Amino acid sequence: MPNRVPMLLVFAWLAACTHSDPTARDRARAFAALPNWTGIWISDVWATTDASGLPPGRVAELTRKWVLKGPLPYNAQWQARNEARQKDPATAAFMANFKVCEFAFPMVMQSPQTFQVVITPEETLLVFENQAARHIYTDGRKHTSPEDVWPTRFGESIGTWHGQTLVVDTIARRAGPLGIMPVDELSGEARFTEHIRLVAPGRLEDVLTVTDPVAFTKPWEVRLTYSQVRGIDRMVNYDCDENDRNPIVNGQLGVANP
Amino acid sequence: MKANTCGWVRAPSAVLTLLLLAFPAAAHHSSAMFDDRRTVTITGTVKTMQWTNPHCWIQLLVPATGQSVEWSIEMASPGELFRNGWRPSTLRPGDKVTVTVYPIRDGSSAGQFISATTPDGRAVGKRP
Repeated sequence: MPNRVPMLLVFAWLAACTHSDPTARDRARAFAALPNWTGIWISDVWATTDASGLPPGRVAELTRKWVLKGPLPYNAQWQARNEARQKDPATAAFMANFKVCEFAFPMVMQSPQTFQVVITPEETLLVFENQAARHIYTDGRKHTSPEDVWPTRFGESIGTWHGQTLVVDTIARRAGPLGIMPVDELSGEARFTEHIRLVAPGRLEDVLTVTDPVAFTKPWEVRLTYSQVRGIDRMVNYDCDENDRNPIVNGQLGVANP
Repeated sequence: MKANTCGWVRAPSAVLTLLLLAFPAAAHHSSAMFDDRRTVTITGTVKTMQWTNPHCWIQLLVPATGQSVEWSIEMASPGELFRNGWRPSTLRPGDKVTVTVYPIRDGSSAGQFISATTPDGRAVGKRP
C-alpha cells in the first residue's frame, strides 16, 4: 500500500493540472453555453410522410408547404431567362423523369433527408441521413480569401452565436437552381444568411435570406421549419445505390423487376 | 377581357404543373410515373419484402387466370417506414395481404404503395 502513494500523488497532480488548464476550462464553459439541439430533425414539408414516401395530402400538401420556390426578385435579365427555362419542353421532361440523391444548399435544408445537429464551440455540423454534412465553422475564422475559394454544392459556411441563435453566412455556393428543378437559378455570387434557433421544444427554425447581386433586385427571405423526428431513435443511413429499381430508359423513369 | 382572364388562368396552371411534377417520391425520384388520380387494389401472397434503400418493395404474387402475376410495389425508404411503424419483419414471405396502390402509368404490374390490410381487415404498419 505505501508503494502506491507516490503513484496516487502523480495522478492527483495530473488531474489537478487538467482541471486548472485554462484552455480546457474555457472550452467547457463555451460548450455549456451552447444550446442543445440533440435529436433527429426533419423539414416540416416532409414530417408527415407515410409509407408511400409522401404525406397524406400527397403532392398538393407538398406544394402548399414548399417555400424554396419562386417568384424570386429577379432583375429583368434573369426574369426573362427564368421564364424561358420554365417554358422549355426539356424542363418539363426533366421534371417528370428525374432522380435525385444529393441535394445542394439551400435545397438540402428542405429536403426529405433527416439530419442531426452536432454543436461544438468550434463547429456546428448538420449531418444528413444520406451521409452529406454541412460544416459551419464557429471558431472565429473568416471566409477563405476570394483567390482561394472555389464553388461547391454546399458552399462555405461560417457561423456566430448570438445568444441561442446560430447566424450562418454562406458563400461560394455553385451557381444553379434553388431546388431540384432546372428553374429558379442563382448566380455564383449569391450569399446566404441563416438565423437558426430552437423556437419551442422539438421545433427548429431557419430564417434564410438570400442576396444575389447578379440576379436579384433585393434580398429574398424564407422561413424553414423543422420538427423532431419520432418513431426512431437513431440515424439510419440512406443509400441510393443499394437497390435502385428505378431506371431511366430512353428518358423515361420506370420500375425494374427484381 | 374574357380571353385575358383565361390566359391569366392558364399561365399559373402551367407553372403549377411544373411544380407538381417536380416533387420527389420518397426522396429519390419524380412521382410523375405513378397515376395518383387512380387507385388499384390487389390481393395476393407476399413473395418478398425488400427492406432496402432507396425504396422498400413488396413483391406480391397476385392470382390471375391460371397463374399468378408478380406486382412490384414501391414504398418509402427503410427509415421512413420505420418511423411509420413498419419493421423489416412486418411482412414475411407467404403472408396474405391486400394492397392499394397508385398504378404506374406504363401499364405494367407495378405501383406506389398507399395502404395494406391483412385478410381480417387490420391495417399493416401504423405510425406509432
